[in-house]
Amino acid sequence: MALEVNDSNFEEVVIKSDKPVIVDFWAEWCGPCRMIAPIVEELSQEYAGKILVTKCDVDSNPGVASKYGIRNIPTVLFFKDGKIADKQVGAVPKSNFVTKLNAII
Amino acid sequence: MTVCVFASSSSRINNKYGVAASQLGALLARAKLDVVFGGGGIGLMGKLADSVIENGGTITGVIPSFMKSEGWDHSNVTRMIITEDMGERKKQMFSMADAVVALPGGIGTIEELTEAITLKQLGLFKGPIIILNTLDFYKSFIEFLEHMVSENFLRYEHKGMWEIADNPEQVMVHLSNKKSWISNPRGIAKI
Repeated sequence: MALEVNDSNFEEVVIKSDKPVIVDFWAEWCGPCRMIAPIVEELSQEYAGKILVTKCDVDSNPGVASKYGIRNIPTVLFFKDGKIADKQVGAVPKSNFVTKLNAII
Repeated sequence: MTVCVFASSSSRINNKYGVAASQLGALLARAKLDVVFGGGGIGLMGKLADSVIENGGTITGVIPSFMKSEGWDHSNVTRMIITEDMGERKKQMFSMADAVVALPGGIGTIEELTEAITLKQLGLFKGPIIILNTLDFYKSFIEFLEHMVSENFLRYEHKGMWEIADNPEQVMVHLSNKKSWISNPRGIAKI
């Protein structure tokens, strides 16, 4: 299961993680976000132990969304050592995520 | 309430169309109505979005990824939903819409407006559909709808599916009007 991150725990969970982290920025009313949600869930299982897979509701967490300039949704950010290593905007095939993930682990 | 606005992306049009789009954006923002639109950065879409933002409103764009790649997206909206294609874009916009407003536009705008009317005819969309008839732009389209009625391609009752507004203030009046169209659209969907 992708872990829910929010304004309060983002620093602790994502920035201070010793593993690479992906954050799926989504909103309840966003159709394309619902399309990539199952892909993100699959990645959380397939990469278990290698990366941390998280998701962040932009409506409930304006602090994180604003800090990282998340205007477009869905946006997936790839963090390594607390810094943004890559980014994927829009609903794209799973292979796009896999390629980017493999490059940072 | 979320108002879905369909509009042109052409910037080669009479400035009066742009002025009306800006006025509408300001009125929607001041009325605290959320706006959803096609996400374009130029033309009437751009004017509308600029005005909503300047007046402190909330506006969400919905744009296919290929248009974003072309750089056609507005860069300053509250939120931009990136869809895979045009069909998904319209589906997303309708899923958010409590009301539809069509500004003057080309083929894309007409397609969106007529889909709204089609959905309403079938009982799949129940909100108001308001045509902003700036400079009488929609005159021949409205006449064509009348022609459909006179030739029995549409029922007389179907004329109640849309409202015509001559200016942005009238759009706001139609938006605040609670009267709904017939209770069982599907009963007369078959002509």
